[in-house]
Amino acid sequence: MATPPVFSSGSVLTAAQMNSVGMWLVSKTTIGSAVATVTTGTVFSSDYDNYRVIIRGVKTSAVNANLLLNFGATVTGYYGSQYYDAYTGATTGANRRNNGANLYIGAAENTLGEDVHSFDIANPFLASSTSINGTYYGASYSGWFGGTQASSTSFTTFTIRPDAGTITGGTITVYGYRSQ
Amino acid sequence: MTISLTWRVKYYSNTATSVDLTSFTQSAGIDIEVGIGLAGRSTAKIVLNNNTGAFTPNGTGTYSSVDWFKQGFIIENKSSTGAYVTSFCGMVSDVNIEIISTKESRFTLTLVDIMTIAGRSTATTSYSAFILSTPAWQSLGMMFNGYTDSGTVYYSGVDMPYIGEANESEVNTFCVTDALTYVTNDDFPAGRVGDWINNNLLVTGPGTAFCTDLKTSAGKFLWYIYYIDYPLNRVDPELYKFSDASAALVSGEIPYEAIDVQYNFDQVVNSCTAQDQRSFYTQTTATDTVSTAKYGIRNVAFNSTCTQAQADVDRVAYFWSNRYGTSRYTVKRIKTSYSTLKQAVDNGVADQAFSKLLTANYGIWQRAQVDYVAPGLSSQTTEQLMIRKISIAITPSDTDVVIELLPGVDNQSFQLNSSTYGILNTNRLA
Repeated sequence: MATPPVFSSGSVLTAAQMNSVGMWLVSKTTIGSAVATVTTGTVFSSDYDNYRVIIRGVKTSAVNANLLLNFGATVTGYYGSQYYDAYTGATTGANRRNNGANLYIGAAENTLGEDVHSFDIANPFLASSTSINGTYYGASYSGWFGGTQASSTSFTTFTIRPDAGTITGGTITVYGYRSQ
Repeated sequence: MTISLTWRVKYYSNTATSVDLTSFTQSAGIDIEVGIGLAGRSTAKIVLNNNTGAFTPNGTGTYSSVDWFKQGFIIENKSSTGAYVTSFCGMVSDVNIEIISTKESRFTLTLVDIMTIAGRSTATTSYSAFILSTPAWQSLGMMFNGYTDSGTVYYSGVDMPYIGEANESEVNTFCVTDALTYVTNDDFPAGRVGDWINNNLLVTGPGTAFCTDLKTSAGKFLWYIYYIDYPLNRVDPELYKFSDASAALVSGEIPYEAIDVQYNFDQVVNSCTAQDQRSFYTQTTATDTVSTAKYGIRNVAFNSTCTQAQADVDRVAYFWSNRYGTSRYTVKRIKTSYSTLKQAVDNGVADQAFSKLLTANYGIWQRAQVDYVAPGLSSQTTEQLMIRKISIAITPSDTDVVIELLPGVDNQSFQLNSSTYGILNTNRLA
């Protein structure tokens, strides 16, 4: 058997080969215009333990606004931080959550929609803590973020929101990592 | 719902004149056959009533002075609601006059398709190196028609029959597929077009091609040829459902009278050696080791492909070694007839399906589903197959049809969302 994804013409497409595919598209959500929050459909399930989320092209109504993340309807028990560094070198710093209402996932653009936020989510569907770690670029800031939702709740959805104003446009794409 | 099947036999003397011979036809037979890596072949035989001497050469009959070898023939059929569809088109290769008595005579025409006729032609020049890369189906047309660009004739093609027109007839090739074979036409030696097609072109990919129709155009005739490329899937598929009629037929099903289920061990190929005509790329040998461990080596070699990349040479080798390494117990042929259809069915869908089945354009290399129950089997078996040959025997009272089949699993490619050809571990990648 050829090592996926290299296939020979005429060969049988086997279940083993398909089972070796590491990442599958779960959902793609398009963000509307001037919305305060965006909640995905059901994206977490027993199919995957871990997920990759890519958020791109979001424009905020407020300047230098950050995006925030919630799992399900849970608004407490979030622990984490976000580092930010302006490419001008003028500003660096951190935002933190200690039993907060959500997690920081990076700054978003005000006008250009050039921002990208890419992060992994571990165990959202399992009845255990749900943790994230990722990186971002937006509003001339680069940085990393990470954190956990420290409850044993099983989640199927997540919500993003700006910490000020509304957001317009962009997409939220969720992939599942195959682990079996 | 009326079930009917109407045949018509006619020939063209030119694009404006067609002559209907149906009323003279005592019987007719058509064979249409394809094989992967080979040119398809269509033949026909028309037996005409010559009791009045209408066809006796040098006589006074209506057709006594017709030069049969320069006419373009069509045998076509239609269902109760459909239009005429072409079952055979071609030209006469032999005429036989049988004089039984002074009052009884039969006039028999033997016909072959245009690929057979024109393929005999020897091209006076090598196939142009200026046509370096084309899809195989287009290249097939150029081999007959020639290639001219901006007034410069790079390759003049072969002499095609005029059929009473001012211009030579031409070939019109056609292919609907989701993947194309590109071929290089460099360095073909001067030779017979039929050899180019069989030894060089159709083994590359590989693919097959067959004649489907003869149509009139402005001042010339067009011979239609359908090309099947290496995925082997037609993008304009028909699915013919055949049943032993042991249960009530569902709409569109065609009942059959007899079935022949055999092992297809003679078709097993588990090793292939491929190389291009120019020896420009490395020779590739691919082997299905699981199959060779069971059956020993059954090798085929294609050393004259007109491939334009190493990957294409490899694809030819993998195609044969991966597809045909399994011996299967499979439906080889079924026999049905118009009378069987008419007795068992009162269904317009089956009526039209039967008419289309009897054509190259809609019937050959199409999908077939056959249900049967054999002794020792507890339940009905349903097989997915491909139609590789259609033999039609036409008389005024009935039409008998024998359909030869190949396993669909070996002769189709993976198709997303298909319940029959989208099965992991079973269906093959194109």
